[in-house]
Amino acid sequence: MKLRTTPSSLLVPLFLLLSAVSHAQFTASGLITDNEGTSVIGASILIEGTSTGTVTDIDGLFTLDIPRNQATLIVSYTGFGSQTFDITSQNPYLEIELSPSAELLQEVVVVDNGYGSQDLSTFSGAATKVLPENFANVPRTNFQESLAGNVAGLQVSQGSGQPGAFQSVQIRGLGSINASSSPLYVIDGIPVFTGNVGNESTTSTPLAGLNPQDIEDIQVLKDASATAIYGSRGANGVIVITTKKGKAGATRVDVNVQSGFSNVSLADKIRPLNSSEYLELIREGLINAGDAADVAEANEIIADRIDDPSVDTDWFDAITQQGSFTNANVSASGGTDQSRYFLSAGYQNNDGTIIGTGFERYSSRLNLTSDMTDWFQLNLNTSLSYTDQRTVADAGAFANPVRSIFRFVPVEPVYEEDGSYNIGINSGYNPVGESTLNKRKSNILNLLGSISAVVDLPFIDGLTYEPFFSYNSIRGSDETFFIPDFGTGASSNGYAESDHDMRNNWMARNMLKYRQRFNDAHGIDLTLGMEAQQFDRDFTQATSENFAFPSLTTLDNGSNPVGAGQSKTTNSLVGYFFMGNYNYKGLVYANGTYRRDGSSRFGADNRYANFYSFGVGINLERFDFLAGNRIINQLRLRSSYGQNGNQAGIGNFASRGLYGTGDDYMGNPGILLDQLANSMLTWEVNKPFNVGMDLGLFNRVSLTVDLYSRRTSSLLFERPVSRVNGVSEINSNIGELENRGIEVSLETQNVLSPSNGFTWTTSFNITRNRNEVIALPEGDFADGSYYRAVGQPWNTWYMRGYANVNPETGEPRWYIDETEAETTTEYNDAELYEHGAADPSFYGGMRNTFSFKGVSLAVQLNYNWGSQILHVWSSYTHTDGQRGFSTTGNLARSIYNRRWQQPGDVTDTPQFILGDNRSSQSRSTRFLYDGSYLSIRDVVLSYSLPASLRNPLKMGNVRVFAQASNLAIFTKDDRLERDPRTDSDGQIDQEIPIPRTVTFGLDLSF
Amino acid sequence: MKLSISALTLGMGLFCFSACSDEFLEQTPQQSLSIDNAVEDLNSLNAAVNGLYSRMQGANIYGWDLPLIPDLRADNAYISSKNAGRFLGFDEYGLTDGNGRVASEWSSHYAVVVNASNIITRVPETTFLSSEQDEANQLLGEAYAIRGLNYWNLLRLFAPPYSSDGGASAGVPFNNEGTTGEIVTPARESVAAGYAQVTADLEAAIGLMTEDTDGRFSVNGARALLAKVKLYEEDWTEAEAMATSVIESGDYTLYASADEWFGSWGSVFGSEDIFALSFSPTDNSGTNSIGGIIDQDGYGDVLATEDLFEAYSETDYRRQFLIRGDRADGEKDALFPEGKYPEGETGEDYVKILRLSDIYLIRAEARAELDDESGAIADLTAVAAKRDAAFSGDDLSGDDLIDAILDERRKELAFEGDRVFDLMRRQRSWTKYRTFETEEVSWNNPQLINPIPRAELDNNPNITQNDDY
Repeated sequence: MKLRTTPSSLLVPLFLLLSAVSHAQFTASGLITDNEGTSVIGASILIEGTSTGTVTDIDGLFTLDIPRNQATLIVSYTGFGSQTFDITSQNPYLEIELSPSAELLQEVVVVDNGYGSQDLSTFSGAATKVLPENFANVPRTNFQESLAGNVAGLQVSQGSGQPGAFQSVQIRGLGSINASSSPLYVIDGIPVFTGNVGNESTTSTPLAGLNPQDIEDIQVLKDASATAIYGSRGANGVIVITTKKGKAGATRVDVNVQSGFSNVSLADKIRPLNSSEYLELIREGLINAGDAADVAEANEIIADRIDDPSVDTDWFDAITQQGSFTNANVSASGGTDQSRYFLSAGYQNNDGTIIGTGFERYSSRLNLTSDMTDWFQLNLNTSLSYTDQRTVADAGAFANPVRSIFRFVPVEPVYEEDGSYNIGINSGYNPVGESTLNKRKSNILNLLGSISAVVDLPFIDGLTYEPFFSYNSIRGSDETFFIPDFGTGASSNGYAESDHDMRNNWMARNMLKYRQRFNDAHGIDLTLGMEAQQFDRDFTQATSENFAFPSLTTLDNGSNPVGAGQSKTTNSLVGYFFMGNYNYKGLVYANGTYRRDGSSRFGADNRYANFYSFGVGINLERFDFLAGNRIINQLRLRSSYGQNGNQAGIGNFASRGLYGTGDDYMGNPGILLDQLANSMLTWEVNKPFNVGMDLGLFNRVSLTVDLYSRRTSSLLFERPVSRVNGVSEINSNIGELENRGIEVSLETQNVLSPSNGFTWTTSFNITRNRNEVIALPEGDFADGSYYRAVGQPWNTWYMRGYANVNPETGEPRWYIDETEAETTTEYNDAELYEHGAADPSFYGGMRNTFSFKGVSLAVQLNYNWGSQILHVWSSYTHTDGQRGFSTTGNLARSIYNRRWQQPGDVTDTPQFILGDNRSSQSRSTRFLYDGSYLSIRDVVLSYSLPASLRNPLKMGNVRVFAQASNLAIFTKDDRLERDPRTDSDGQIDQEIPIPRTVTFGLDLSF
Repeated sequence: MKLSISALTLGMGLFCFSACSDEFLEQTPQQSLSIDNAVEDLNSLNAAVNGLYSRMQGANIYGWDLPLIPDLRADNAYISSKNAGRFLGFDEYGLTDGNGRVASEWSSHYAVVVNASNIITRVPETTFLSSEQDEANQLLGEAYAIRGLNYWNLLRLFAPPYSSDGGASAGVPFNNEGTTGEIVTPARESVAAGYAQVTADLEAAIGLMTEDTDGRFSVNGARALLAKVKLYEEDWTEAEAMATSVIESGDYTLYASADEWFGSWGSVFGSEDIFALSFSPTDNSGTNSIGGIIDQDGYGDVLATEDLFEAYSETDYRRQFLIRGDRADGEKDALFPEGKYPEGETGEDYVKILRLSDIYLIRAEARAELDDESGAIADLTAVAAKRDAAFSGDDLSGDDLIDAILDERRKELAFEGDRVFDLMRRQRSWTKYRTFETEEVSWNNPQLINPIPRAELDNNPNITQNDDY
């Protein structure tokens, strides 16, 4: 495997570079207290003349590497202003008592929206920063997973437990119907492609190639002020990822290793029936059907129909495995005042809990900043990653192993007596054999690089020119091979497919920035810019059949090269933008943004649109009446309004009337109508409004509350049409949606200890979002199991109401209509009506961190309350005998546990009748569940070596830890037999379960 | 990576406005044609007509549903108790308006209808070279014939038989205008209007076509179809005339021996085939095909009834297309109708839509109804005696003769998509066989007619549902 050597060979120059960098001259340390002698947590300490610094820990202590023999330290803390202290290598320990100050504080907290950073204290938008503790060391492949529960207003739907899977994220609710509701992802200023690459995996994403250890911070931009700069792509929020940069000073090397194992969570709930349970049901079903008079007769039929009823296969055990998680990283950073660097290399191996699944990642990064002259700074960011995702068939495919856990009867063996795979089941698809012997690999080589500069222009002080050019090359290559012996590859006597998915994205951006402060009062920050970005895709696919040797899997080994294909597509975007920020002495401030975007996706007449935002804020704690107040240390009020857009998730040619090729007959080319034209097709328009408050109390409590609404109109929608039109839908801009809600984030330092004793901190967030359809131009309509109606959440369920079983007869019943006054035993006589929504009433997370003498315990709980979720495959697993003797006719545990057996039984599960056709398995509220849950998302127990032990070793940090992810989940609805964490549509699918992972690790820095 | 000049300009300078960005934003599809270019010359017309045949290969038209479901709903076939869940609604008479297969049957047929209408409306606006005119006419004729066939399938699947009330019931909506830019929501026309539309399309096709190519519609194909349509419409005179014109064309010959009969199945065109649809590996039907659902190496879910087996006398060689065996983990001593679809799960069996035996039997039935019993017996015997050397029809007359013709249709055309339609139009009752039970079925059981799919009801305010859904 040639590619694999490439990333690791990057390590060589890394270590060469490391050895060339000098070490610190000395290490300063100290204790910082306030004027009452209480330790001050989070005070910032900066070496004057550099950007190197640190903050005090929970005990008010700090250590800082000083590159020279002496230095001046600037210590600053809210309410105390900045004070300077000198320190030398002869006397490297300082005890500092801060005195209160009414001076304005220059906070170091900034918000970086990808176009530049802005002082958070003069930012009118709603943005949440995610801290490294929430994503850096956790045993999860994709940083997206770690956003869950950590950001108010952000929901992650972890649909699949496939390692490396893309996670569906929504910020402030469902903002689009048929286009994408996904936020825009921006890595170091570059809007990136995040979707599936290649053809084999349905869950791959270039985002899984990003090593979470390389991330400095993640900024989630939510409202108009925060996102309007992204114009036509900002409507559903923006996730801005900033990777680590070097800081001037001594070289710092960080090493992290972590290893552990994973198992299927909720195993007790999803474990299928064993043979004695299954056969008990079958016997009862035969008798109830009148096919057998008694158990003996039933056994005769069973003996006749089932080869060997004594077989007892646990398909759960056959399909699942103990997964593993191994992660190793090394990074180095440092530099001089002129040039700083950050270098890293990482490796991860993650074997899934379903046989045949896994993920491997090699990643590397080099970020360089160089002040080439006093007016010219050059930045170079490059990262190269290679990921290898091993997947299995999914969704409704015969070979989907997860499907077979639930559906295969236990009386069928995995293997025949001669050791070969049992292929007399499931139409010849043995999922154990398929998952073990077939190959479904999805590899992504991802190069993301940018070169940018900051040029101080002459004559006008504060004016800079910032050109930026980025290139992202994603090379997806799939290796697929299906063995000839049985299953997916049988009909073609072995099948191989090779796909190459090349996606290039380049962007050029030019900005003029002007930043100035007049009369010590008026702060002005202006940006004028233009950018162009283009996304290309070139996809080639070749397939070959008829293979002799299962070990020779490349196309050439097939005697019948059956297919080859190529497709190309491009979309391009141009934007012109202006941002302006003004503040008066940091007391009051205003932010404004204007952007005009053009997109190739829309018709020539409707190609451009304008976006804007306006926001204001006030920092009340800086006014005289609150300055120095010992109760309220922060009180900021802010508000913003604006308009942004969405064009993601629609085809590049969605507005055109098209005939597609490839509908060939007898070897001659053929075409068919694909898509109806809509020349008026244009952007989705989103108008967000936000009012926020940031309140700080006693320097220990910080509370952020945001109230928001956002109305999205001109929704891009595949409007279903009468099939008599020859197609099933037309791309349209119809309807309006609104999301409104409240987000509360609370950080508290509950117990503080001045001397490394017991401390306890809590961070908590809760979000309530209400999604509502505002307008549907052609009125309310039924859409499968949903009813789309004005005044209700988009995902409002619509199906027949199940009225449980008639206790006297054991027959299933449905309500005649929504009055639920009368019932019927005829499924077709029951009307469909509404049953609540898939959206939760509220959701969020809470993290408690306890520490004592270097031992730390952090526990994160995530919760979701009030959603209704539908088990969409229940018509196969929750039948009441309809599937007969089918080898894929195993039954859910609830059928066994709750079936009606005698008059008087009150239950939701009808009498079990083999060959039944009462339609009880058909879609109804019988399979709609309360999705409320509380999960123990993360538990981290760690021990950091005290300075007294590590100093002799010249170690900066030594930390050992144990970490559990997804330890347990508690569901409210006892009937529910699956993981309640569905996609936002509320559908429980046949996806790979989310694993429970336990790892042990070691962090070292020196 | 290819960067256009304008793109570079955009990248390098702040002050490049609408002119160069307009060019940068101009992208063209690489895998699709604009609707306006879909039918504009002979080449594109050819491709558009190929598309119609390709669409008819789909699983919910001739790939799977049409040859299978009419036999499954009647007395020829049933779903094994060991099944993957497919077709159960048809086997158990348990269809609902949410049935996905029914929805796909509806949408697939209308996709063919609209694509055909696009050809039919655009060809008259297109200028062809005089040397191309005959071929253009042939292709236009094929489009008419295909539209007629698909309308007729929709009538058979979604509306009561013509004979039940002279076509007075609600039939199916039409879309004869094709894609105009307007979204249409047409109401159902009567069954009689539907048969008139089918007749008009087929007559137009007959007037245009001149070529006869295997796997495609020809003049004889359109005439044969019209004969069958007229039989369903009980226009015996016209049915007889059309059947006669096909038989007398001399282009087709009845299979004369067991070898010829058995050799005509699979990936071949036989001497009886007037119109059969070709399937090749690149059509990707695989197991999702009539062969795949029958083949015991594929799904193998569909079994033939003992009643069908018993319908053949011991001297009838056709009986051997039913292969007796044990279904793995299913029915013992079952009947697999594999002989007519020998390619099985590869999905490469050609699907016979119109063949000469059918036309003889159509004429036999028409002649019997026209009181030409000797002519009817001659046509019946022409087919039956070739299959069963012991056959004699000399004593038949009246209802017995009609019954014998229907029985012969059952035996000759089993698993070719006729059975339930024949029983319904002749208003016969039958016994439905399943693994554990039998059920007496009347021809007017509403479950024999598909529901109008929920998606259509939701999006077309002018549509009405069938009885009992």
